Amino acid sequence: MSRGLTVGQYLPGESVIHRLDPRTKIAIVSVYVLALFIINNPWGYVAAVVFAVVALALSAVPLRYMLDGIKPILVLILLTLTLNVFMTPGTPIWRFGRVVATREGLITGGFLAFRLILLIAVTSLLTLTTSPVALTDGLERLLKPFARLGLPAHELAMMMTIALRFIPTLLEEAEKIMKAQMARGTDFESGNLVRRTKALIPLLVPLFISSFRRADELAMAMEARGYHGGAGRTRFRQLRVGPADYVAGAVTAVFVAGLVYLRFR
Amino acid sequence: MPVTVGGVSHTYLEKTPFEARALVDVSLEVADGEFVGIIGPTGSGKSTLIQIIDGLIRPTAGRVVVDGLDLSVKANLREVRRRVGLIFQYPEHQLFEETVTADVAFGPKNLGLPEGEVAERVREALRLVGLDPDRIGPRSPFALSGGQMRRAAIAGVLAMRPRLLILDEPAAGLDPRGREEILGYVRRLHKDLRQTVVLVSHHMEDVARLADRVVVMHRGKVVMDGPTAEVFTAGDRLRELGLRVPAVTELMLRLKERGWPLATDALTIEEAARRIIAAARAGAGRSGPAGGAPDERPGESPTGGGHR
Repeated sequence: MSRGLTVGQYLPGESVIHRLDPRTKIAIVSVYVLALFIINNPWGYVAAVVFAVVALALSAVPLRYMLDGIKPILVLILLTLTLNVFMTPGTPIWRFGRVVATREGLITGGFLAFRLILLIAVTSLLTLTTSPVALTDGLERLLKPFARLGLPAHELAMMMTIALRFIPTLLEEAEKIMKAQMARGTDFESGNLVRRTKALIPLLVPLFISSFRRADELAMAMEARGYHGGAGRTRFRQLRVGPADYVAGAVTAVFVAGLVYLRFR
Repeated sequence: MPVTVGGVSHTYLEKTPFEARALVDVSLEVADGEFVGIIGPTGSGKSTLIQIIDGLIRPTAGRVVVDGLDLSVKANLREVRRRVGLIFQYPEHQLFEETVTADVAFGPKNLGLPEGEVAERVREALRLVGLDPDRIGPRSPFALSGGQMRRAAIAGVLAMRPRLLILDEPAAGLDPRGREEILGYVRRLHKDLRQTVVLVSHHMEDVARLADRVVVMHRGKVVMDGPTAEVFTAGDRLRELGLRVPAVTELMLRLKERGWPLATDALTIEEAARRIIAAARAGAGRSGPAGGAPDERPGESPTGGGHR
């Protein structure tokens, strides 16, 4: 029901990017994010932008969805930009009393903002083109080697799947309870902060109670169907690495090698 | 409390790919002291309609006037919510206070009533639903049985003394005894206190027994609206809409089909029995229809399994 919730939103599609193995996508995004931090010159940024634009074009995801993902962190980006512009010592380009904007500040701030935007854009492209189930599947497989070190990979992935599955359910439930309490005269919309916070109690208490009830019921239903954790569990959906994955991996490798060269030449 | 719904349409998530038309040009009147039943298959727009009447959803088109207050005026919404008591499905899910008394008092307190008045209303409301204010009142609502929780939640709305009471499937998920109890209280509110009631239900028997008038909804439209007996006698039409006729009416319709000289508008078992006895007596002199053939449709019981 709720619009504007694009974080983690999945946009079903049939593009090359959609069909990549989730493990490949997670790995590429992780590498890309790390690579963003070794860039120290404009050409590196050009390469990073080209990489992101090509990925976006291949995914056929409308640009609007990616921008929606960036919107929530816009404040953060502006803040870092402003702080950098005014706090970095260097050649002054503009001054207002004791506050001085510097050229160096503008450059570092600009690059930093750019880095953040690219980071969010590419990670949101991952969630936009990968269904939550595939995402957690991929994550589970990637974490599997760490299971020997005692990391509960399967359980973590299962928890994530369940959490994602219940977001819409909880939203719906919250809306229902909110309406029921509004029918009993609660006013969620007016009053000062204290009043508004207090008005949330009749919403939050039933929401918590129903969450616990749902958790209980789900656990029981899972056990009734023989669920007993990760050991020995087979999968309905097999993850398979195909030619496209190798190509994507190779392209990423070249991209990273290029960035490393640009930095250390 | 009179309600006028005029040409109301509502579309969820308008202008998005998820657009869904819930109501299409719905008009409806509820008069003071009336008991109106609203029936219709799942997704026919019943829940949307009652939420619009309570000012919880603002319709995309049309006019709603509740007790003289026009709902298109935003300032009227709060007042309308005070006068209309809306009991959602599974109302026990809205309980949140530490004691039953405190929970029932939540609504009246929101009305800004003095404490003495609140306490008095809480006791009255609990009694109306058959809960002892001294015994049940101090307990935690979460320690009650399912049926008691449901009744405590309903008391929470009754304590606001709504002039119009709207109930959405008040007996859903209760055992037959719990169902009888809840509906008994609703009936008494209407009969003894002249409470205006709108009851939304899938359960044809309940609507048949309680309502004076029945409104049938289908795909967001009002398709039938008339006195209860009249609506339920139109068995074929209801079946077409994917609804069932109450078992009693079904029996009467089938007997009539086989040539019994019956009026088919009986809505309770007692009424039906009286009609059948009268018909049997009248026919006793002649060869009579009473010697009817055995059921020509074996395997299909006219009393049908449960509600949908």
